[in-house]
Amino acid sequence: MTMGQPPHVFTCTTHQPLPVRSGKGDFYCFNCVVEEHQSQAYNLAGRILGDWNLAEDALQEAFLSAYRAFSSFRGGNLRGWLMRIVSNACLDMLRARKARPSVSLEETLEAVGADFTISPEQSPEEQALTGELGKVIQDGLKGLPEEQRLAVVLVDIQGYSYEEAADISGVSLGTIKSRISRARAALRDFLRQHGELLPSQFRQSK
Amino acid sequence: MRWFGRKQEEHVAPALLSEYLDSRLTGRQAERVRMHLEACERCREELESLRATVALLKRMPVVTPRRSFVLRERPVAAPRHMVPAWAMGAAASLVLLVFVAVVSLDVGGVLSTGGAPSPKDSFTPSMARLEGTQTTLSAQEATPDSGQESLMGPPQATPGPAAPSAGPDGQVDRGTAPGKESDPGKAPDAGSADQAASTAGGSTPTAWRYLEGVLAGISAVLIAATLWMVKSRRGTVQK
Repeated sequence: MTMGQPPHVFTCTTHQPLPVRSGKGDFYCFNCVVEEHQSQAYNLAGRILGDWNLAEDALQEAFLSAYRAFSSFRGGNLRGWLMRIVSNACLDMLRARKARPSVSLEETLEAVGADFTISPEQSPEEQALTGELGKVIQDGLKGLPEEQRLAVVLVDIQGYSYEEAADISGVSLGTIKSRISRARAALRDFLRQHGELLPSQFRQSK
Repeated sequence: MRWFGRKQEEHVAPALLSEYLDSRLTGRQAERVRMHLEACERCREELESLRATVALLKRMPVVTPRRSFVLRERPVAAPRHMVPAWAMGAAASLVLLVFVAVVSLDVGGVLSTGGAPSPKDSFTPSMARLEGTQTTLSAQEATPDSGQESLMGPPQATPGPAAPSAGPDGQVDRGTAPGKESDPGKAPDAGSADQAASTAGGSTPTAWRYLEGVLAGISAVLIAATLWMVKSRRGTVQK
């Protein structure tokens, strides 16, 4: 996570420079910005949407929006600015699908599933998280209200601070606190129901 | 936020416990939660179950994108219009304003009864003077006509230019000669003024209608264009 990078970053090695100008007047190479943040943006979109194909579409849309609206970035936290656009694109996509459920999200989820490859060097626990357990957690996330899902993905999966998550979601710190707390409790209950969170896992730590 | 601790059955509020888990509580608040946890098995269990949940979430694998999202070519500046939406909106409001001004001047009778350059001037002082000279005017049977003209402008305006030599048109023409400082008090002079104005001013009422129509059309087009631009941009640009 390279947050405090100075502006005017042109480290183009794999692409043609694509200069854009921020609202503050600083020049960036937009494609360098994309390369730096695309993995995190892709994971954010994938966890919110629960579907990696949709995540690609959302990201494509989000980066195009970001390019066009780059002058509305007025310096400061570029990652936060970008992730807000990405999360907005995801929420828009969820709402659009809710409005006309011609292709149900359930079906696509079943069809796509989790397409991670389990590598042999992963620990058994990591393998479980990529496999069955990972799928249960993703199902649990899907059952959360969208705003709670966004909050818990940002803070617990992606490791953003409460402050940054509040900034990305465009809500107050207090709202983020309560969303995270509710989401965690709901996920805990969901995991318990599915036998993925056994009392022995936490009783022993007394 | 509900606090805890007075009675044994009260517990730590969930949001507070969540923050405690992230070590976001400081000083006295953290200390009170810690003290309560030592005494309360239920809250301890709650905390540990949340801790286990968060631990699983934190270890969710990072998925590598299957492709790069680098933009291959400079995107077509589709949503950037030649004229920005705000300028279009400003132009629309300006034309609409002019349109409203022209219509209100017309309805208010300034354009058709003429004389005063601004509505204020024409209504208060000259009306008073009109009353004063009522006798002279009524002798010429001018008052009923000019009164009607200002009230019912649009219907009378159409036949006006069609028959320039007809009697009542003299009244219409006299009134519509724009910018002319014709004092209503000088009613006896009206006859000669009529003749001077009737040639050039005969088509003026239709000209005003024409202007109003054009302004209405332009403002409608500008408003439609603005709405379209705003709508087409909303889909792509996020805040």
